[in-house]
Amino acid sequence: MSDISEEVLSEVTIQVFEEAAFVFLEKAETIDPWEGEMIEVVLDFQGPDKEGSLVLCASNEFAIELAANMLGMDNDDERVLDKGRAAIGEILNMICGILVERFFGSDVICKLGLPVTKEGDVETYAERMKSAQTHISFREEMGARIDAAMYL
Amino acid sequence: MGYRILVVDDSEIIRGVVRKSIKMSGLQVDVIFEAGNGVEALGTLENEWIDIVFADLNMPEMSGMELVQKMSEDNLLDSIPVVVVSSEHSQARINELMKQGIKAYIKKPFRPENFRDVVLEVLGDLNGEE
Repeated sequence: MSDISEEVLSEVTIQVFEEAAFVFLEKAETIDPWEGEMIEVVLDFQGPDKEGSLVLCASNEFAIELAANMLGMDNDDERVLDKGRAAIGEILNMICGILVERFFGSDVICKLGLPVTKEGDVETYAERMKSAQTHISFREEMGARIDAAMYL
Repeated sequence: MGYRILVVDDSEIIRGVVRKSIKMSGLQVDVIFEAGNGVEALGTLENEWIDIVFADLNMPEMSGMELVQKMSEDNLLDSIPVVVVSSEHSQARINELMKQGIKAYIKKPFRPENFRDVVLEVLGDLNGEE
């Protein structure tokens, strides 16, 4: 198994947001404390010799924008207002699919779980992130923050 | 007259994205049906003429591969090609699925042309151009 580097997690996250939703991310230079409400989605994976989980965190407002982009609709279209969490989950699923192949190789079959949404709590989120193997913060063009983290 | 397509995925958002991608692909499409799992898909297949099925793997009630198995046991459905659309990128997994009877595999994230290429490869061009 290859090392799970910050560089690979960053590259794959940026790639998937761009290809699946036309959202362009830039890696933030620092990871500040999260402010305001948040959606945290977790997906577990299992390879032949290691297991872990991948986390994406974003604001509800950005999640709705993400859903709208994926579906080619306007942000205020009522059909996307309840699809933000699902959109984050699907993006997380795609990132995880690419990452596990990078880490475990293409010759093995890995198990991917289902995305699970955690109720956002800024304090427990900050505490949990301390044990993440890799934790990256991104900003999209309009300034919205997206975090990605990997636990092994 | 265009293709009659069934999209099977438990995620409403992915069904919507697949629908959008197929429309953007340039394919001549007559109708796109949607189902949330294999059971719903079988219901649609029993009542509608379908040219090709795009199915997710992990779904509640009946998975994509259980759907492929059920279709292979039915004389009327066993000739309808099933294409899996999934986040799993492992070549070992894709090879295993091809042995079990799927006709093609599209990895997420996908582009509209992925659907066009697969449909033309599996079904051929409606205008007679291979």
